[in-house]
Amino acid sequence: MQHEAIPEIQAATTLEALQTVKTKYVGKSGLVTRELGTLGKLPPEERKARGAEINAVRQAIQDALDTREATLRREALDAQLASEAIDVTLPGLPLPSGGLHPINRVYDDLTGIYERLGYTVVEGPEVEDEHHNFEALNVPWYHPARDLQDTFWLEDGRLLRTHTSPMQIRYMTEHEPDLKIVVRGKVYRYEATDATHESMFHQLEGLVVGDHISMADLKGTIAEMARGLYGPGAKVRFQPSYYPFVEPGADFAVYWDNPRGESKWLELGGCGMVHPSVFKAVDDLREAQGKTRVYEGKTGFAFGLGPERIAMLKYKIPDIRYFYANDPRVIGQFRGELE
Amino acid sequence: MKIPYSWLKELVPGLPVVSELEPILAGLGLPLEGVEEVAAPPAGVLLVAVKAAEAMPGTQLTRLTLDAGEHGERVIASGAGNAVGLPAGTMLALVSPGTELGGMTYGVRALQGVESWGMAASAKELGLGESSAGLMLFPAGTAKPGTPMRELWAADHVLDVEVTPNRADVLSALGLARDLAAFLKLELVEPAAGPQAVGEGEIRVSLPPKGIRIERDPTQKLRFGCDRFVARTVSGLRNGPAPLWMQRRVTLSGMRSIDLIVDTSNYVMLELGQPTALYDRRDVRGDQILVAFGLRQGERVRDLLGGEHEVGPEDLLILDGAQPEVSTVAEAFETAGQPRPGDTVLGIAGIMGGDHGHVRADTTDVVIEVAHFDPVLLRRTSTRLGLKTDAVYRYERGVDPLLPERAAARLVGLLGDAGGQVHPGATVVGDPEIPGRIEATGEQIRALLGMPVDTGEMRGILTRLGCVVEGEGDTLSVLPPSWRVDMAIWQDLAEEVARLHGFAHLPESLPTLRVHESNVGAEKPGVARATLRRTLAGIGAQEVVTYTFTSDEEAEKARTERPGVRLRNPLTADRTGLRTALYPSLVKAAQAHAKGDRALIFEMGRIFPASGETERVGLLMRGPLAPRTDQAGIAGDFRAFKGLVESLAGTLGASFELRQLRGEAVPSALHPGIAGEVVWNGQSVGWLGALHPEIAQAFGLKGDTFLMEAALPLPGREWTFRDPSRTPAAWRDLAVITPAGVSYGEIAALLREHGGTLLESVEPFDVFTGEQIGTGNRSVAVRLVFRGDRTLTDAEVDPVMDALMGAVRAQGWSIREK
Repeated sequence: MQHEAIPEIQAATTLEALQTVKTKYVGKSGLVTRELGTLGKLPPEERKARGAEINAVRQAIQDALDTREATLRREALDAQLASEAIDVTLPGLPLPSGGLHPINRVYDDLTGIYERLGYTVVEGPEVEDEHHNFEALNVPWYHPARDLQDTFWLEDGRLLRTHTSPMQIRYMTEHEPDLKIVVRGKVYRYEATDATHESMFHQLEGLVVGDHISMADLKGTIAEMARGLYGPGAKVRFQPSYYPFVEPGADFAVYWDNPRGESKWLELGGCGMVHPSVFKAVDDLREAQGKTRVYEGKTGFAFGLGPERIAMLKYKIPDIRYFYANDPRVIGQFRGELE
Repeated sequence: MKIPYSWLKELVPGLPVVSELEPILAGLGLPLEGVEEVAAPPAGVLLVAVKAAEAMPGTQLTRLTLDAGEHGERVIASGAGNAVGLPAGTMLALVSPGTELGGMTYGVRALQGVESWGMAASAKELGLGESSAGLMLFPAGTAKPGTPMRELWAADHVLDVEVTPNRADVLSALGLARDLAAFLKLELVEPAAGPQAVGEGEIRVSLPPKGIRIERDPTQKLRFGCDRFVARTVSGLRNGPAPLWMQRRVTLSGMRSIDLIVDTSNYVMLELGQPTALYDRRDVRGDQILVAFGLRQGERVRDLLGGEHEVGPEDLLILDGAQPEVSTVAEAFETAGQPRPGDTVLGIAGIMGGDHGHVRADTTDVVIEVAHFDPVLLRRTSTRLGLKTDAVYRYERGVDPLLPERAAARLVGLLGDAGGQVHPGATVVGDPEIPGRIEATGEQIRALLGMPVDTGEMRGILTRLGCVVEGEGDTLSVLPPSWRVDMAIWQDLAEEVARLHGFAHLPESLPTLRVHESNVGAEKPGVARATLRRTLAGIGAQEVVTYTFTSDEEAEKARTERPGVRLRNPLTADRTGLRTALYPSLVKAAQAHAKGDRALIFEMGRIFPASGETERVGLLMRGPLAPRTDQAGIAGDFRAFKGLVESLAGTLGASFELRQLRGEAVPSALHPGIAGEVVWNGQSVGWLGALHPEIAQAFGLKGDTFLMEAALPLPGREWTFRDPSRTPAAWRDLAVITPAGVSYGEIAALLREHGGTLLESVEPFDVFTGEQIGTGNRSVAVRLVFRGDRTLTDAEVDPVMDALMGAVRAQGWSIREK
């Protein structure tokens, strides 16, 4: 029987066929099962030996069945897997992928650094009045420093802010010292557009006010920013300059240890110690609103820089007009972690 | 400001070489915009003397007979206007034959019968200046005839120094040299002084006795216009070319050489920083000068260049012949009885000379005006008249109020050198205001700078800068020099200390402070913006930043409010005002790029409608959801767009609902049938829908474009933690038949309203139209999910279902039976 069963098992090519063979031999009424049923009719002395013999046959058949079943199951799985094969090199279901505008990426880099230093990021109006944009910042209407900032005037006498500095005034009028803020936002200059000039661009403005703020604190803060932007090797250089709303005033440059090109000093922005007349102007505004005068006698620093310039230097963008032309082939490049 | 290096070197003999100056000047806050190497004229350019100048009949030419020294007597023909009638002895620059200049070699050529030996040249032709108006001329005896010009006109470097508006004191060779000498601790050689005045001058001068106050002036002071006026006289001059050395310095400094008198005036300004005015004495009638506020409103003044200007009672003028002690010209006319006011104006004070009184070729006797004027009044007049001159540029920044006497002496000295007879006297009137004393302590300055500089060094620095420093110990009582009109408060002293001690020595520290509680929460809008921006990028949209400018035409095309915030001085016709909505910017961005066939872009920006400046977020989608591939993608239809916004809201944890808009309520930007009101966390914040096809067409967009525009900040929500329910839900389906115009949102809202506390959610799963339910009707099948604190029984759910069906029927709608 074993000699008949084993070839039959081997010949089964499907699990169903194998099941039929299994039923035929070891099923409830299978041949081996029936043979076992005959043991009772045998004399006791023969019964044991015959039993062992049949069980051996049964075991051999069962082993063959198990082996064959495992083989058939593997073959079936292989076939199924083979049938399920996919060319994974074909593209996936198209889904959109988005990204931030390069200016806001640079802004996020910058504000990220300042947030780690405990600064609050704020924004303010782009249409300003002359008082906040100039006069409260120690630039009376007749001051020659007005020539430095060509202004878009509005028909109603207001103007498009020429810098983010009016937010110094607005923020201080609303909040009390000590404070640490950075301001982000668009600014406007009455300027013809070319590769390095735009009539609309962006600024990041910083303001810190407290009791014993020093110019060394300002330099250390700019140095923190420089290292955050350009790595641990970045250095900061201050040179005297003039902004009417600070005294002393300086321009700052950062030494960029450029891994991909020429290392050099980059002139990034202006800064200085808040001019006492700015604190006075703020207190005047506060007083007019029924608030207490809290700024006179304080010290503070302010700084400003342009994210366009940083982006142009960092990413070698040749023309400022790329930023607002919104060509997806240009602005779509600024994705992921950029080294 | 342009200045030749050699001039500075003369004043500061120890000055380092040009290549080392850049970092030094930058360290002083005077960065170089550039350094120009100026070559000397070629060796073949000779200084020659005119022996005779004769007109050539029938031509425009002048035949010049020249003494060319070792080259003998030579003849040339010249077409230059100033060659006509040149006096014998006058020297000129001759490009001799064989000389290469500007890419060509000059030779002898025949001109109207004259064998012209080379060419007499203008400054421009020699590459020495901008002036091409006539031949370069020099006084007789400038050099031995035949001398190569380069022996007197050497090569040089011209420094272009950027001077910030506060540093009026360095707008001169002396000022710049003074700052460099103080910084480098080098000796300063002062320019020659000129003859000090002895006794009274010949000119009577009167200043305005009444001051004026101007609007919005934080100082609110009474402005008299002129607090120092020095008048001197020189006679017997022969106006002609200025000395070569003077022409050279004036030219290298970027000014045009005119004639002896004008060049000398300009030279003094370049050397000392003091603008001066010279008048032909024949026009200064009665030897009287009146400084006075304007003519009657709208009176016209003709300047020396022929320009006409309207001046008024707040413009300061220089007049002649009038009576002293009157404050307006109107009064002056009355007292002097002059019927023609325009004739008597010698100049607009500190800005420009008048047609009347200006020096000319035959001027021999001059009246010299060296004054200190109010910077604010002058700037005001100059700005209003659009007259920006080198003189007012310096005045408005602040000229040393004590400089006029010194500058007048220098000026008459130079004119005396040129052959004039200097009257020894001077008229000096006015009481100039000089910078006041500043009190400070060394500690105050150290604390502000955060830099250890000892008080002794501070004294040294301030003294080198010309301050008089008094006070014991740590106290500094400082009288700034009269030329430092920018020094007024102790912080200014700190800046000078830092500047000369060196900004490079500033240490680096970080501020220590405790932020006041009033600042708490100010960060929230910024954090919300950043989160929204990144989430929008995360759902697949590309951020754009667009121009805030728009025009009436564009607003009309986009069917939005015309810009109410309008530029007084637009740069271009398409940028005349500020946008009143965000979507036109997005539509333009979508149209301009990706060939307009696909875009999924967003912007967060400010808009300026009549209701006031506000912040918006806009999202635009057109074309397939993702870039087209060979495989089927997700269609970029309304569902996909709304799904994106739902995904956005989901990620931000916000509830988002779109309410159908109809009729008048549909924003003009949108397709009237595909428009919804965005309800975000229960508040109406904006709209979403399909761009109106006519707008799409106007902007050149084909196919559907979907838009959302919403106000920022999108509101947050109140929230407390809820343990997820473990009780099973019960659900029922319900098909509601309504007229087709009723939106699903309205049905869902009705069901939620009447669903009580047990109704957890309403979700639509089938929309059906067909004759079976009647034409013009629509059936929407919804699944209602109920959940309570424990497993719900039919006895609990059935009454709610009855209530819901009752509510549906009460609307006049019906239930579709299974």
